Amino acid sequence: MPSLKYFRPKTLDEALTLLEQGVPLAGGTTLTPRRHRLDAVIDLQDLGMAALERQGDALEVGAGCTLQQLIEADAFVSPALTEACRSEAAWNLRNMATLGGTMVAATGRSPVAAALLALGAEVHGLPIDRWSTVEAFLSARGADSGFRLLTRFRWPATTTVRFARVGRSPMDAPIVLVALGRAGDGALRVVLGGCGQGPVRVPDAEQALASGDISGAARAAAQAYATAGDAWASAEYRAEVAAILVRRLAAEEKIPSAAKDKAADEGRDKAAGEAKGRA
Amino acid sequence: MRLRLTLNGKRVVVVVPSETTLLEALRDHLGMFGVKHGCETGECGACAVLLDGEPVNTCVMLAAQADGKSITTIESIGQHPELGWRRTEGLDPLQQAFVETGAIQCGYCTPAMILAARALLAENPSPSEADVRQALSGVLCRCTGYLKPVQAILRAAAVLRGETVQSIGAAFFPPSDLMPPAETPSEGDLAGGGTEVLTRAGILPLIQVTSPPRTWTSVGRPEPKVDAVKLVQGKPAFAADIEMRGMLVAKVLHSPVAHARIRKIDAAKARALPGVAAVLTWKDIPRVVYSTAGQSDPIPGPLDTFSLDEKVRFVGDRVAFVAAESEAVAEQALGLIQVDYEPLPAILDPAEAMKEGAPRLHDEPEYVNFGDSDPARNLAAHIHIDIGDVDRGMAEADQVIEGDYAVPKVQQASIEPHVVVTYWDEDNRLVIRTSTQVPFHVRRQLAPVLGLPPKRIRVIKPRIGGGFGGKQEVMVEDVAAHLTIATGRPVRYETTRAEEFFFARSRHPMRLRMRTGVKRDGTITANEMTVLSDTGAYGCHGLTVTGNTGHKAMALYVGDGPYRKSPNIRFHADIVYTNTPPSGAFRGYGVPQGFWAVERHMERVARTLGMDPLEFRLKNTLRAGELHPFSTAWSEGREPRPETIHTCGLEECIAQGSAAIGWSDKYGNASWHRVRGKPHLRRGIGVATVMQGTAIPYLDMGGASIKMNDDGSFNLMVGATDLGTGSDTVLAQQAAEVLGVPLDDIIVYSSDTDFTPFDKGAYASSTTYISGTAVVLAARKVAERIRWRAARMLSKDEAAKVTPDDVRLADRQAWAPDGRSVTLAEVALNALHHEDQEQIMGVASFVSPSSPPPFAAQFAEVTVDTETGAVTVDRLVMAVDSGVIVNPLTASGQIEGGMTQALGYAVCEEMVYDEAGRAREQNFTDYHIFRSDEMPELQTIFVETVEPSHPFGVKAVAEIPMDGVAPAVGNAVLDACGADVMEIPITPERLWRALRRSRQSSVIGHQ
Repeated sequence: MPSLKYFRPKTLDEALTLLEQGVPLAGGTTLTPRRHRLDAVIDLQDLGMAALERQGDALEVGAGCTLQQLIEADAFVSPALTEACRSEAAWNLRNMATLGGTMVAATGRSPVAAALLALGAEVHGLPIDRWSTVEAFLSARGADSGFRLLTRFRWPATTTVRFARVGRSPMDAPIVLVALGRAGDGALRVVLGGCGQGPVRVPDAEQALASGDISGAARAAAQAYATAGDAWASAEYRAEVAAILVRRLAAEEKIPSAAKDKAADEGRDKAAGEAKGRA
Repeated sequence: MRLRLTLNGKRVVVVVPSETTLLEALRDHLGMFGVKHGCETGECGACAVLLDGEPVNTCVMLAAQADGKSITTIESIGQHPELGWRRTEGLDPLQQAFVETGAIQCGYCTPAMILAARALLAENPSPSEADVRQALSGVLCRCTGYLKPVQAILRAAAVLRGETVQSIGAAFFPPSDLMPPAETPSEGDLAGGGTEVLTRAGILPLIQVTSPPRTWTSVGRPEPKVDAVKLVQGKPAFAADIEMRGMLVAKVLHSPVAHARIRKIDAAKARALPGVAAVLTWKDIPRVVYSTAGQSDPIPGPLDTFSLDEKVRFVGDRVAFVAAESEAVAEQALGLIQVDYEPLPAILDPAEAMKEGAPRLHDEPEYVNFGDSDPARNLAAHIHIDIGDVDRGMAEADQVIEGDYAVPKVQQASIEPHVVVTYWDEDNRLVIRTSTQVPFHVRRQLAPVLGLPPKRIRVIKPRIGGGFGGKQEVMVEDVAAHLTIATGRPVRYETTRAEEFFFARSRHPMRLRMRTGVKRDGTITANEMTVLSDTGAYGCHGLTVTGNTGHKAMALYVGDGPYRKSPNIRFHADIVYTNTPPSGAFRGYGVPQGFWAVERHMERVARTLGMDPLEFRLKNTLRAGELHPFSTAWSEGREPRPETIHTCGLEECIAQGSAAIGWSDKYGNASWHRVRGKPHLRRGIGVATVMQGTAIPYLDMGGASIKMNDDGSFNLMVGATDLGTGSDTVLAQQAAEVLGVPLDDIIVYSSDTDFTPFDKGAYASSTTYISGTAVVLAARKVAERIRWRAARMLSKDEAAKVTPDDVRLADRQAWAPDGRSVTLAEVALNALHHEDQEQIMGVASFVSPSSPPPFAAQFAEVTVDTETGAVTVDRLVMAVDSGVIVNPLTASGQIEGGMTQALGYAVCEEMVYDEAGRAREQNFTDYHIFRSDEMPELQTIFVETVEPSHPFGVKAVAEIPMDGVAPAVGNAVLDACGADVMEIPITPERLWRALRRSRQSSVIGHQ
């Protein structure tokens, strides 16, 4: 029976050559269970890609940085990203799983992927030697995008992120997840997660929020998840809850709402209050 | 490949194939058995080690990745303090704290917890509770509910900081002393849960003692578990922790289809693969029909199973067995077995099973009926019980209230999977070393299947890494045994976590319909439950599990006034076959299913009548001195005989539990229900009252054997099967009490069919009571011989003669009334060597004519998001009457762990199958069990009664915590937001739909 080949290159060049015949191995938390179906793994641990540093207004984080290292650099990264890392995996796995590996394996239920999208993060890959948005990288997975090896991530240090999630228990993988990012220049990012291949940005919701149309943003979020049904939740549920969570984050972010929207909100809250009163 | 590691401070070189995981390298190549296998995908953390000081999960890491690194396993931490003439530094303070606080139950995840804690304390000597819960977040525990491990780590941290910690003493309080209401979270707090939970509970539970002051020295004390020291060191104590020359690895080929006949099966290619020792298909082994349900003879259920059959009945059913030199080769061989399936129509919905023209699962001529089973109608069992006159009771009611409820299939999810090692010994007797709750049933039930008489089988039960009913099944032993018979070699079969989900047993899913007749004053006049229970592809425990659904859950409410004397209760159940994995035994055994329906329904009845839910319950529930209403109607498929309830602490449980949770301040208090600044959140509080049983009357028997050694110590041998619960400890405490020795002097061994007396096994909440009584009876026989001999020794040189009846055993001595004494060691030497030599020993057994029910009140506090339907359980309180508590540490551990499993049942655990019958849940990501960092606050209160049918007054504790959490949570959700969720788990979407329904119906109501 064919044996798995294991390589631990010392340089990026060596790694890139070896990657012709195998797949990159970071923490191994998702790859190891599939080891019998692989020909060769290229262990990246000696490539020294775990640095966290500030480059001007950007944070740059090596793809080999573990989720736990990100948490421990909490003075350095956004609290929402720390929270996302905790929610992504428990301690033991966070000591193993890298940021790069997490993005390669991420599904829509990954809080870290949602956080990176909301942060407007970019990822640098080889051999193409180029930066791509994480968003574009996630949707290009599976195709030959030239990103054989992820080296580092970067995002603006001034971007803040808020999270809202719904799951069966506090630490269960989220069924619906919304991340709202605000860049230093005020630009907003609305990200939905909780199902599918990866979290998604909702440009219509971002535009609506920018113009103070919170109801419009909620509608756009609902629209974006209008067909997001799977074994874990119906599309109907996800669409409504996505809208609710967008409203909540907009309120937390103190996004000023246009007048007509405010009236609509008040009407809605009143109706909800009555329903509860009867209960 | 060749790897260099620093393992526990020593440099080692190991040569392994490059696809070897670090877990395999450590266990199979380096003998580090303290590293445990719990899953293959990294979620459970049982396989954790410290890699360069940080905890990592070795099952999801190649050994090659660790090349050049430093690994710490539990084997390097602490030692027994006295190893002969060599003194050691003893256990590590962390290990010591785990032992003292009762943080160890099965002990399977203990090494991983200790390592994680060590890494935490190395970085942070003064962790908060939240820090500790974070540190444990990577280690799933199914036994403890995490409370005691958290307390252990905080205690160890204090010790390591040089602080003085209090000794763990008893925490009894007198009956009049009601607890003050607990502090409520400060206004505006987002109610607890998660890492922020602040544990108010002490290490010991509160125990309200109702009996007179006691003079016991061992019973009632929080003794450390007798197996704790080995477990905390990660000693090779479990079934898989054994190396044997030439041992083969077994794998099972599972059916990919839900229902099919095997047209053709060809194993030639698999057999030809180098490294394959045997491949067995249905053609290769005898066709013997049996039941896998581990129960007493005769099995109260149909015989409908074969080791291998030419028909498969669920996705995951067995098709072939392989034994090979390595796991990788065995896996590869599975892929080379060619099977031609003739697909048959499948039944996935139990409601379809009995319809005209439904496909038939069991058409084999060997099928043996039990009771009303009827395979032609896919009916595995049928129960109809009429007590009193239900129709008349309904007619006499002012109102009849109906409701439909549903419960899902859920998994026991013990962290140690099923595992067995079989081999021929030097006498050609087949040894089965297995992780089982029922060693004696394994021997009896497998003998015909293997073509061996029981006397040529020896079953050894080592330490068990949790079972919860999942191992009350003879499910893996035959696989390894057939392969050992075929090859002559030792064989190990250990299921994967995925196999645990798609192949092992689970809780019966049920649909339950309730009809309750009530008078306006709240008197129940009649109560009826109709159940459709899904046993899956095989009958297993179908009859007895579902029977208990009625027998326990429908027994609690007898009604009031004249109805109390002559209750009207009907229970009707159809237990049907479907093409899904078989259901089986799971802690609670049908009763949690029943109480979801009964306790949700009683809440709705109380609210419909506008009555206080506590008052309504107490008005109608069973009381001491009354007949168990089902005792004359049904007894696990055997002859029923009347049983009177002698003790019932339910009223006091309600008083204590409601005081602890602050019921009177919260229930009906609108401002408490609101959360400031969060208009979408509502708090709710709920209760459920429950009862269970203690063993099966006139059937369950346990034996015990005690022999005295030269030094006055005793070997206690029991067939009772400690699967992590602490039963060895509480049995030893009862022996120590009778014999007047410290627990240290009792050496317990369980269980081995060659050396220990029969015991039916660990199920039906029976061990402390049944096996405990057997131990007391055996100890009394030993004590009698000691007193006789001591009296003779004490009478020798003195004028004052001592009679045996005057001799009292205490402090390792036999005392004369005048204060003289001889030590038990002197008595032992006298007996074994000096005078009229004899082996002082006692053997006894016990079978009970009754099954005294424990009672409990379970409370839940929740926060509901009324917009998304998300439920956060903030607090669980259980006040329970389990009779006298033999060991407050192990007993409260049972309650805390049980509440935690039940919490999963309430909000997140379920097993779902797609349209082809494939399991959605196959790992701990999809099947979520609660982690340490998301737990609600847990609190246990014992309200003692003294059960007269046991020498120390005990009743059961093990299963009852499973019963009331889900309905208490469901009732708290109703209290919070007015929405009735009729089906568990209460997922966000289920509640969201219920909220929409309740809003719509209330809008309609207003029109």
